[in-house]
Amino acid sequence: MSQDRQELKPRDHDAPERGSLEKPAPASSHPAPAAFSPEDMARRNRRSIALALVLGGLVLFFFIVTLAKTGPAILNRPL
Amino acid sequence: MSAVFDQINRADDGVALSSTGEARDFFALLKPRVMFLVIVTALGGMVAAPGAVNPVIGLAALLAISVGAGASGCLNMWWDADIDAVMARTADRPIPAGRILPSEALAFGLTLSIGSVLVLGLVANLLAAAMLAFTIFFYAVVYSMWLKRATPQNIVIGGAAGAFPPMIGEAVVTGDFGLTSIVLFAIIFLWTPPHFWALALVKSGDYARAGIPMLPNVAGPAATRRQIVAYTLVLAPVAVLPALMGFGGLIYLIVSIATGLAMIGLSLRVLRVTEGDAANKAAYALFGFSILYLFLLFAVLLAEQGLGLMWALPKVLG
Repeated sequence: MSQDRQELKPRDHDAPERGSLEKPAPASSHPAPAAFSPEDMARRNRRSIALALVLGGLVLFFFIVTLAKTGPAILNRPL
Repeated sequence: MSAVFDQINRADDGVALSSTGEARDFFALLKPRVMFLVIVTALGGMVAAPGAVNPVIGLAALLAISVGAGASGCLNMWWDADIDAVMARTADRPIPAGRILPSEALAFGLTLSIGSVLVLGLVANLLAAAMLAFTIFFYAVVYSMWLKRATPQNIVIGGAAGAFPPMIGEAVVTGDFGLTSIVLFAIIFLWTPPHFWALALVKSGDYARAGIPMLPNVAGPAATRRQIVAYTLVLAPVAVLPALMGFGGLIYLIVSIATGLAMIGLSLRVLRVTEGDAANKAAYALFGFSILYLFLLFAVLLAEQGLGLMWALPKVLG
């Protein structure tokens, strides 16, 4: 049965391996590192801005949740 | 500066260490449509639970549950990148399309998994956090890594992962879970097979190419059609239980009966129409309506509880 399934599944050498950590290495062993294009850099910048917004949102989230968890009596205590 | 930046993002052999994927690609890794259904079902468990929770805490818990669900979807996409690449339906997902590296998806999924469980434990309680952790483990490891490629019952057992959110929702409110959320669990659990098998009937070629032993590929379309009808015949009455138990009202009773009958009708059409385009249309109709069905059941439950529409329905069991 498992042999049948194996036959049903052609291996696509361009596809990432199941659970692999990285893309397959290119055919040439030491190609020159290619620079990111301006479009790639713009994408990375947008990604960084999104990450910053998420981190800012998390700060606000934890602040509000802390207030809700401690309740209004947080300041009503002996110093 | 740019040259240095380029160097640190590429290993000696030129393989990229970081992709140029955008925020929307990372968001796509979370399976947003599944996240939306998880939010609706978890909220259903929260509002149906006997008790109340601070709205801020409830919203924070809901956010943690949905992010946890998204994280498990992300880990699923990381593990299944090889089969996603050979299936037309999934070939454009961020990893097989090359927009996100597998290592990035793994790190993203693990970070969100750990973070969502920790946050849920801090804002709600340990039981809810433990259940979320188990749900992520069940979907990412038990279903994705084991069942999916091993048995045609993959989505039957794996469907439990999608059915846990209402139980987590009740655990957030009460610190425990009872019959209420178990019934909601049963509805989603029984809904999963007809929903996925309807799609698998149409996409059986895709699944065959990917080597996934879905029921139509292993037992054949005829047996799959019979199983779809059998599960739907059990699902429809179970979906009426919330009204009979008192946590669904009159509107829920009417909607669950009407949509349940429609589900049975569509499943019978899948059983009858077995050839050509008409068969695919019948399966697609069931697949599409099943999403609306589950959404409607929980949306009505939410509306009744949230808007005070619990009309005077005699409580049979509750």
